[in-house]
Amino acid sequence: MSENPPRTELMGSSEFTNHHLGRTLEVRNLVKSFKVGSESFGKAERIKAVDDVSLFVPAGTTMGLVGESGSGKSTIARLICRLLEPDSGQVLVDGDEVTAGTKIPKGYARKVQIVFQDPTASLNPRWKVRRLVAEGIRVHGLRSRSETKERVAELVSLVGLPEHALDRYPHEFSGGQRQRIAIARALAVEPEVLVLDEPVSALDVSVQAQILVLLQELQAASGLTYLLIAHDLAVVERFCDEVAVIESGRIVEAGDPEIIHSRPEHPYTKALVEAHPVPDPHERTMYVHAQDKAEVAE
Amino acid sequence: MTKFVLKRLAHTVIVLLGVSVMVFFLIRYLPGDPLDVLFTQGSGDEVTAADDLAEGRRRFAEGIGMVGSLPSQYLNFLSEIVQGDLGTSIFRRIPVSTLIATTLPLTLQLAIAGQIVNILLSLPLGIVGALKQNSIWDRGGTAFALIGTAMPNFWQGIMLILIFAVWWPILPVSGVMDLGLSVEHITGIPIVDAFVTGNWPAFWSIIRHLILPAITLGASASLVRILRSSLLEVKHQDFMDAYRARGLRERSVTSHMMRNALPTTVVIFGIRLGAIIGGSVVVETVFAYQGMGWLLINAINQRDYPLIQGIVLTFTVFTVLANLLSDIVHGWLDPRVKVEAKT
Repeated sequence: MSENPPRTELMGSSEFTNHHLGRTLEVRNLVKSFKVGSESFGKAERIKAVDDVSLFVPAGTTMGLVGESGSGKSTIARLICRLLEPDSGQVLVDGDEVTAGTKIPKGYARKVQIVFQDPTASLNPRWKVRRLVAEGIRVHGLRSRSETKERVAELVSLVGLPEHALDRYPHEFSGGQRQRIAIARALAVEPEVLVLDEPVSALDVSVQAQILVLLQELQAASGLTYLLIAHDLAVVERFCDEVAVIESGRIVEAGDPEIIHSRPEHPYTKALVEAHPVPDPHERTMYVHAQDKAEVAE
Repeated sequence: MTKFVLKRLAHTVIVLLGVSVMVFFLIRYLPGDPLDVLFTQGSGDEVTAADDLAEGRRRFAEGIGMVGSLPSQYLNFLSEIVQGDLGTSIFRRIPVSTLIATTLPLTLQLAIAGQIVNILLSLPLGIVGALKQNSIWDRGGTAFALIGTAMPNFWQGIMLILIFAVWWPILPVSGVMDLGLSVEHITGIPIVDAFVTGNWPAFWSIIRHLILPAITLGASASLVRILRSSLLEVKHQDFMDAYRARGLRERSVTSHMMRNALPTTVVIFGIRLGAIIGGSVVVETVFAYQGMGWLLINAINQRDYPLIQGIVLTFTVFTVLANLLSDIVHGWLDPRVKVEAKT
């Protein structure tokens, strides 16, 4: 936390401030397996995508979840948002339990929101920004019609988009702007926890930083709790209070991002750190695929 | 939008020009000359002298513009079309435009009935297939559509006639309506005219005659696979999960899925619509349904040049217009297309 860049207080004067503080997010022994192959060919087997994962994210902080593609990190995001049903385990938001098999508590979707990786795919192309952002408010009956209109305009300016953006379609924006729309849409239902599923991976490097800064500013202003999923340790290191490294559905290492980056203990983490390109050519080592590296180390 | 439509209409003219060149020259290079049939020794009632025959043939050819070089004949043909004259049928001695005007409504009636069958079959099969992907319903629906597409129309038509008109005679074999019945001419489309004038015996007869050819045209359920795959494409987009994450009930999510899959399906339906009107040629022939397709086959057999030209151009106009219409509807359903058309 101390190493994070100073958070600007741009939104300090906004109405947004502190009117809904973030809550703790806790995941206990989450398990999810998928059937692979087809039964008719007699090859069906189950693969554990998430294998006994536990996480605790204190209110108003950011937990990074890092792993290669296929490591199960996106499955965890979907399990937390109940887009998938876990085989077993618990998800708790502010003490509200969402246990496998039980009915989802009412209003859960309001508490936990998700921002997807690719804003091109996550925004309905047939809707204008105004409707996209207002949808959540309408579904949960949060505000009256006129209040909704005001709120939507407020959210759009909060994420740094001009007012005329409201009457445009998603395809009229750049990737970074679209991700801003997706963030505004997630914030519209006044969530306490925001699951960020690789929110900058689909964006240009120059735009990545802008979106991360926006997310930091929003957190500073509102105290939201973040679970940031990434495959890039460098993104996580700058942004998170704590980092968990996931490999094949299991958390292999967790702790302070600085320490994990400078002194990784688990061979998989070491491989991840080394796989990241080094800007200085003199310090660069030969690129080896993270998985191979991990095997060699073992 | 107006600019877009005007631009497309200009394209239509170019397409028509190309088609007219092809049809005009190709049919004339086919072996067989219609005038040989008309002016051959012994073809008339009286035996005519060879000189008289040659003279008659020359005068006839002059009368229908079949003299001079082919390119100059083509230019004459073009200038007549521009004046709205498609020529006169060589064998029927009736203006081509009159023949088209009487047969086109029947073809439209049949094509629309076929598409109603297609949509009634495709909608449930496609939607269930996408919602319950890989279920027994999905596999069954896809298999049905595949079999329907794989079976040739003429064979399907003959089988239907065999089953429902011969072995188990509950439906008529062929024709538009029972002999002895007639409808007043109002719109030209018999089923509409019978309905408007309250001519119920004719109305039911027309419907009974439509059933088998309409099934033959529509039972391929050609939309099933398009509808299913465009629904599945939308189904796996992140914004469907975004709706769920926002707390929308599954029913609303499904309705959003349908609305987003609609543009693709409508466009492909529109593109096919033109082809379907052309595709009715085979079905009309099998069922002796006296529409434009049936007329075309007759005209080709007789090498009735003006009639072939007129019908082929009419089919072309319908295909191009169906494409234009589906593009306009696409722009109206999908905001991303509208902007592209503007710029």
